[in-house]
Amino acid sequence: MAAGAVSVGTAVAAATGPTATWVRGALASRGPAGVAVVGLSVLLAWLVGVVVAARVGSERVEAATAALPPRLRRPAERVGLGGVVLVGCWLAVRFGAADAVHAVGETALAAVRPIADLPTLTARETVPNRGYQLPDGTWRGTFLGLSPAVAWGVRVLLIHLYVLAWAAWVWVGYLLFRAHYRRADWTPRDDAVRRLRGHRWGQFGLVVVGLFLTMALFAPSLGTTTAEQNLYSPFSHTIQYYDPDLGRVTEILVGNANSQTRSVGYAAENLGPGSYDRFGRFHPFGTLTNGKDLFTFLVHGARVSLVVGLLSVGASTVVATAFALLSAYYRGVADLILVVTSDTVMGVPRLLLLILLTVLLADTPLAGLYDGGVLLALVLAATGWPFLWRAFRGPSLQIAERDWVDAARNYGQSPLGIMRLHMLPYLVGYLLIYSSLVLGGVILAIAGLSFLGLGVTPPTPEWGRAVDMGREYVATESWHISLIPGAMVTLVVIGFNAVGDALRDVVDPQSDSGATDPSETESRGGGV
Amino acid sequence: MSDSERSGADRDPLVSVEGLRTYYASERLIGGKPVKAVDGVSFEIGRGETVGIVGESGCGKTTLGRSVLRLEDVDAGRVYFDGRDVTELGRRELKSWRQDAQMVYQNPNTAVNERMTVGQIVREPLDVHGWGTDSDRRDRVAELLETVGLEAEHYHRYPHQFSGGQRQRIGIARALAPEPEFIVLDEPVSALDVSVQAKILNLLTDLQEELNLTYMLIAHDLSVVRHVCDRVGVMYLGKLMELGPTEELFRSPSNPYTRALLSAIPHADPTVSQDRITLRGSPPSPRDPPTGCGFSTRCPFKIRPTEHDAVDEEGWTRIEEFRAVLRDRARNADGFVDGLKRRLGVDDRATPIREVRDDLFGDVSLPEAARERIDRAVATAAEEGVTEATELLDDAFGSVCETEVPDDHPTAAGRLSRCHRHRDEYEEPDEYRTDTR
Repeated sequence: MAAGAVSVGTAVAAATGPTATWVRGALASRGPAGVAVVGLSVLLAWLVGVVVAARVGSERVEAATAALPPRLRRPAERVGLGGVVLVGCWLAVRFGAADAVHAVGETALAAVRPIADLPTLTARETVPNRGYQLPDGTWRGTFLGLSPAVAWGVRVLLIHLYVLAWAAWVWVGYLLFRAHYRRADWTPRDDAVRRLRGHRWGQFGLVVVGLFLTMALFAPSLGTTTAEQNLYSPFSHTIQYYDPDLGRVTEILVGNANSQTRSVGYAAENLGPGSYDRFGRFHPFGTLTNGKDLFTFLVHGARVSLVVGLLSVGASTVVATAFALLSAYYRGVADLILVVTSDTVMGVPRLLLLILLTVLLADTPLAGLYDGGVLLALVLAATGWPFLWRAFRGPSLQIAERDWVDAARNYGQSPLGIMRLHMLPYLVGYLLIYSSLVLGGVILAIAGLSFLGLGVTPPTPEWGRAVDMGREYVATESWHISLIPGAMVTLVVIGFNAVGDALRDVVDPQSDSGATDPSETESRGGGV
Repeated sequence: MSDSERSGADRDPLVSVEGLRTYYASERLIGGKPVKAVDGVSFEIGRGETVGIVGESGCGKTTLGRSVLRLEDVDAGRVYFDGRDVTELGRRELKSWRQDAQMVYQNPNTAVNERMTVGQIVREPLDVHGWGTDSDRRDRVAELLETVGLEAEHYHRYPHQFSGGQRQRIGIARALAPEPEFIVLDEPVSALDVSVQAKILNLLTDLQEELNLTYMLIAHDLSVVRHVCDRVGVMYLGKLMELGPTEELFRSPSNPYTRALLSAIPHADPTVSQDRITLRGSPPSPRDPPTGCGFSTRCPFKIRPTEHDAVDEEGWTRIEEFRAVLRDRARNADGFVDGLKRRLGVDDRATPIREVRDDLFGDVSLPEAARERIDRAVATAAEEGVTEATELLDDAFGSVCETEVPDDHPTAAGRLSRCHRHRDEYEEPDEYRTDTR
């Protein structure tokens, strides 16, 4: 966890630099980008103002704007307060306070770093699987002198047991909380949990999704080798191996070793699943066409898929939910504008739009973040929210009709409060269902885009690129390059769809796919 | 609730409604007519009084209640609460006024948010208006729950765990939370079992006495209204047809519609022979209400033109039916598609007007004058069009009921009735037909 904090901290620091430069450039150009920046700042000021106004307490805020005409009071309060806070921040950054903040951040990171460096049970250093075999058959450098395959297997098992223990702890903890600490003796959610217990298909989906999440979370430990050494900079790392020609242990650059372990379709140059290469490296899924380890490639690719997928589905879900609540609460013109906007977005073929946006935005600082992953996620979100919004709008409209919404209006609850307290809780089920269905589709879309050479830039691993690499060799000895990643994409998509189906049955047993028509989004779970 | 000396125009009413109109815009983009859900309603509610609003479903009584609370966008008219015009309140004034006027809903299943605990539900109005401290609110909720006959321990339960009657109690507790003076009860018991109905009504009566509340009770169950209300307003097609003290109104209704409505109450004593007034057809669409009096299309007390005095009761029934058919066709003929069909000669309407006439008047004897008018209308319909024929019939058989909107006529102290028959030149409804109550 500490390691995660360190890496997030470093990433944030790395990302702010170029973004600040770009914003400055956009403002200086006085073009549409500058206008967008100003617009976003006002929006940000408003959002900050809403939060500040809520904290300060309304009487004091109201006193400050009493002189204005009533219609202008509220926006003035919000933008004004937010503006004050933002300008304060800017001044602080401008006149040196930033250094102090930076110093505090550095100190915090320094405090966390030693904890991050402590050995952990699941780290690859605890159970090393990299070594070389001497002519007498013994292994040097591996865990307890076991063969790399067995050592790797032990580590994989350990990681999964670790995850299982965590899951069990959470589950038992939840049951204990429910039995002894929760004030309500029953909540509607209990019924949902009870229904999930008998839902085999959903449990299958949960297991698949759980394995996928484990793969993504523990990618550095799961791989037979590290991504840095094998995938990103193979010519900066060396490995030791026993050279039978020289009769002694020698060093070789990983890049040079990789060039001799390629899988290109015939028996002489192919390393299939579960094989060792001549440098004593074990390849559970075989090697790629460029000699890199397929398994390492896939586990790190899972991480990319998951991050990009969650980011894009998260962004589009937030946008779609906000829009659905707005159109259901206000109806009329607000709804009409949203219908027209979403229909416009949906009217353009999505793949074309994706390609267009990816290419157009390729030169912005966004494209540099996470090897293009953030841009890809945003592009997927920007083209994907109308589908989710469509799915959420129906139920939102129904909920907005309920008497408790009317009653809330009657005792003076604000529109935002009504949406948050009285409408959103009824949408959460739909949010989970549709986002999990869409997440499978997005993972497929990311793979599809990198298959086309778009999206995440090489050498960052991505499942679709592995499928693309092995395309020519499907019918040869090197079938594994395309088929294994392809099968995994399929399995993960099925898993997410199964979870979505289960959530629907569990959250809303009456609907039985009758009340709302999920077919549109469900079929969309299949691709771009 | 039974302080019967309180009646009619209170000198200082709590709620006073003047010429309230609420129209719903047409769904159609062009050429649609608005639905006149509430069409010029005026009445007053005195402090501590219970005023009932009754009427068939779709007559606009719920919309009236919601309009009074400013839950609907009102098109015209004023609502004064404690002398203050609430239709003109700004956002902040409105929010603080909302504490004073609350509503109890009909359906206990949709009235309360099922994802919140009972405590959260009842507490929310207090949170919204920043009432006291956190522990004050908790205490108040516990107290409210006990006031409405629940227990303080129910704070952490969910509405799923309660019966319909108990849910309704939760809704009442929520309405009481901001300490209102005025509560609109929108059919508060109609979705409940009969045994529970009485308990909830008694609770509401007790609360009224205890907290000095003013109620506006919307109902279609006349026995509930008679049991609970001080005064009753009878609504039909968005208009208040009659208003008066409950007992008087039930004992001697003035308005023809009230008579029809009351005659539908079954009597407990089967030996009492009672002539029920059966109304023809269903209420007209509020999108396209009849001209003149809204009830004129179904009214058994309708004023008839004197030149056709010779027509008997059966004859009038047939004539009205014939006119309804023609009116219907004329309305459809106005539609673009039907007009086009007629012009192209593909008018596939089932029965020709001539046959409708033969069907209706074949077995009744009409005086010569009346029969001649009808024949002329049939001929006109064939030659010129249905609209012209309708106009011809309106000329011949129409009366003040169809041309003028009736005024509110005070029929007794504190009683108003909207009917042309209260005008001096016509017979009063009870003189006109003595066979019913």
